[in-house]
Amino acid sequence: MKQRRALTTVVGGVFFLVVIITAASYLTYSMNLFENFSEEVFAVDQERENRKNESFDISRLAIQNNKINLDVYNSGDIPVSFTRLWVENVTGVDEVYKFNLNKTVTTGNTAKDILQGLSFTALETQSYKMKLVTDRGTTKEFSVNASTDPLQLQLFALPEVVPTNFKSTILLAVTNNSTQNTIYTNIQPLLNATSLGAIPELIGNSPEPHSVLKKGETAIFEWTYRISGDDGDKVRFEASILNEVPGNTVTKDVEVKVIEFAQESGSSLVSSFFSTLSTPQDIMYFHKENFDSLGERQMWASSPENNLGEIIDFSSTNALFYTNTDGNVTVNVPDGSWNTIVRYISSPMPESLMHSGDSSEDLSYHFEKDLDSPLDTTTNSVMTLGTGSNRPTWIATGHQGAGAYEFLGNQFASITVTDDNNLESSPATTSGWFYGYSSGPASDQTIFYGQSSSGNDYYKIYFNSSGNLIFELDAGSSLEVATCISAVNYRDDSWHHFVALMPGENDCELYVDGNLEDTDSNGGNGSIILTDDIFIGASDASGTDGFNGMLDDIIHWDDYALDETTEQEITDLFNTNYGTDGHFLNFDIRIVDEFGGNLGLSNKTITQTLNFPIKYSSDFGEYTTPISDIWGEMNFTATPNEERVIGPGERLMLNMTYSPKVIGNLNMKMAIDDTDIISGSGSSFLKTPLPDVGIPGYATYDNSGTGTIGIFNPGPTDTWIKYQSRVIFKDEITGSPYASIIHSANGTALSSDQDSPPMYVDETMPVEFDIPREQPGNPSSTIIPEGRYGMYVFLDGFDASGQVFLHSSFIGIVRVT
Amino acid sequence: MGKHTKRRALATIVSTGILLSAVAIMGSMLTAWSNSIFTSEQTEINTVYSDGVNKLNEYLIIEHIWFGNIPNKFLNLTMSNVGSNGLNVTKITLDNSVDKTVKLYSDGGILRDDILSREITYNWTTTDPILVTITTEKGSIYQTYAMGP
Repeated sequence: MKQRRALTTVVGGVFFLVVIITAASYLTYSMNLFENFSEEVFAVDQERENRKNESFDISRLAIQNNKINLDVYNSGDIPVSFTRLWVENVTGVDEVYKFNLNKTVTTGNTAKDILQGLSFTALETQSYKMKLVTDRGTTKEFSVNASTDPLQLQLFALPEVVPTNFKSTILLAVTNNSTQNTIYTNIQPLLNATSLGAIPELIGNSPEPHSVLKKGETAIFEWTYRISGDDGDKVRFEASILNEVPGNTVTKDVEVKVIEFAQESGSSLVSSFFSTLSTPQDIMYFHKENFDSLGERQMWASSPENNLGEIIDFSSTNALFYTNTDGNVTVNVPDGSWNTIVRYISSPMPESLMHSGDSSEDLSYHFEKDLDSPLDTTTNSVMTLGTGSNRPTWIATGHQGAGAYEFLGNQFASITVTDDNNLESSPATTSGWFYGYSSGPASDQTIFYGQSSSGNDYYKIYFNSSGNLIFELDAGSSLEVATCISAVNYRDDSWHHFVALMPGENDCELYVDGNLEDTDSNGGNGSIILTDDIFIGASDASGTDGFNGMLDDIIHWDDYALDETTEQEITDLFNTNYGTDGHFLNFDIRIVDEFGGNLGLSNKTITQTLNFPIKYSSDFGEYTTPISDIWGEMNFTATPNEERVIGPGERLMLNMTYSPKVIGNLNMKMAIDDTDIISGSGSSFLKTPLPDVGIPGYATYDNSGTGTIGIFNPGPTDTWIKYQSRVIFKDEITGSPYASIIHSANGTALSSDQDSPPMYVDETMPVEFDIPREQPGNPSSTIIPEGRYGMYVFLDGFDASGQVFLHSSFIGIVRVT
Repeated sequence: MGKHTKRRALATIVSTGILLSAVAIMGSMLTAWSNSIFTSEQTEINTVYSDGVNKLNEYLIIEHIWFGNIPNKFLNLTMSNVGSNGLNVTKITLDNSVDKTVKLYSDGGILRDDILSREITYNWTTTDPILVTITTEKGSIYQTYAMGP
């Protein structure tokens, strides 16, 4: 019995062991599977995280020569690879194209012209819907030359009523208020002027297309028309955009108004309160005055009043502005676009190259506009483009998003030789950007060329038949020709920067993209005697040895060799952006407390935008002391999605700070408060959505005494005002009017037989008025109570030509205390 | 007495044999049963794992939809497989307030990084958004809205 039991135990144990081993194997297998599954989950999670971090923006789109120039900026945290582009011709519903792409752009960088190689003909007149797709499945749709939704259009005429032969500025604001996230590109404004008796005459050019309009952004297009006609004649302006949704147009009439009693009076007085002119209550000009504004500059609805204004140099100061504070007023600013217009000028050179005297540049061409005689920003020389088939083609977004000229083999530009560019002797430097087409011929191609009639002396920068870049100069002795040659072929369809140095008469150094490519030093003396113009893009006026590609930013120093060894001037110049990213500004627009303190509330912030790119604006040699109206203009748009409320005692603050680049930094200056700036949109300002009441300004009047206003005479003739001219205050809430007679002008008491002293052209005269009452001039009538009023001035006068006028204008919101 | 002893020894051998056989048979049955249970569980967990991993790695985007009307109104749908495995589209449903269309596919395979386009006759309008639903063989569902131009 004992034997049987032992045997049974052994058999049972074996079976038990088998079961245990099987169970353990199963458990181990399950654990392995679970581990593999976890790893798969991690991998998928990582991939989804990457998709979330993938982001890109359309930074530029334009159609040139039936090709789409599209730049894409990687705004995400990981590289982006574009795999496909869908193009749908909106005009023909069934025309859909699919293109496979293979373009990768790394983080923080921009891929330029990624659609250049596509076999697709894009027409300016056709509208397209496009979609970019990445390999991770991120898509971005944008519309070209058209809008698929009716965009918000607003048309303004400034002013709407003009004397005959006066100008009116027409502004079309296009806001992308699409309910989709569609981006609209290459928006082309259309403006049709129809005569309703008056004759419109366009002054200057029509505005250029707007490159990219994201959701919530506003593009502003501007035209200037001279209007002529008889009293009551009108011009009807009808505006839209090309390929807009049918029927989405806006109109505005401009009327000719002959001044009453004055058949021909050309005088146009502008009234002001305490020497500050009025504007619509949604346009806040920047002022240089700093009283009642926390020691910073004022910002309020009043025109510039100073013909010198102030120039803010961003390299040394910020541009900080405050509106006034009013403890009794709440201002509701509806949702919409806040546009900051900045009139600015760019420094001509990066900081290391801001030299004076012989060390400064002698000619500098950036080709920002298409002109038969492109502008030399130093004003030292005159360039003339070839004509007819010899004229190079201007490419609006040729280099760094700005203008460049394209040369196709027999096209050229010539520069008249002066003492500033005669290449005569060392030291000298020539620099520029070139883009050599790979399709160009295997022969010499000229970039920069000057020589004597005998051909014995020359100074030339060119491609040889192998595409090597060569800088060669002969200062008289054929035995001492200096030749610097690059190691590689630059006919590569890419932009490169060259710097050709002439350190000695028979010596050369050649840099490409900031790197030294070659040197040649022969020593000795000599001189180059030029007998013809300097040529760009070819070696003569017949287009011989023509360049095939694009050129930009041609700069020449006739008496200076750039210093790379100690100052890194060549590296600095290579890294300088004379295009759309010339500068970066930070914008901080907020509602703050009466002391400028942060309220810490998101609904008090309009925008806090860092590094907003600003296009280079050429200087015309006036950067150091700008005096002419040469200011560039940029528009920064912020669009909060809801209204903003400026509560009692609060202020609106706008702070612009410069964000300098580490290398290649161009400084910039901004002009404010300057009546001499009449180009474009005028002096710098902030335009808010139209508030329900005026944002508190800096005009106040104490009803216990007389008040003073300024009358500015912009011409064309001297004028006088007569007794019975008056000011009117209209209660902002009840509309009740109070009026007062102007009793003196510049210290001279006015009466029925005493007019004012002459108001000379371009001068401002102070005039005084009595305490406003319900009945002006009646001392027993009720005095104007404290409160907020709209203030108007009514002027009765005559001008130097003997014509009389009646003139009424709105001054602005005034606090009566 | 001697005869009785012999019978008892024989009975012991027989009973021992029977007992051992019974234990062996029961043990074998138990082992076979447990093995079969473990094998079937292993197969099932393997299937669940594969399905789960494949579904997890499935990622399809509705890359582009465009509309046409010649000769009849239709909708062209392009899907892109941006996941790490191939997938099979088996059903596409289009649904707006006036028309619901269901299309079944047996040839909807899309390799990794590849695309698939299907043109579907559909009475689209410019006012009613269309709910586009794509179902894969693994049961993943992808949806988007589209509206005629």
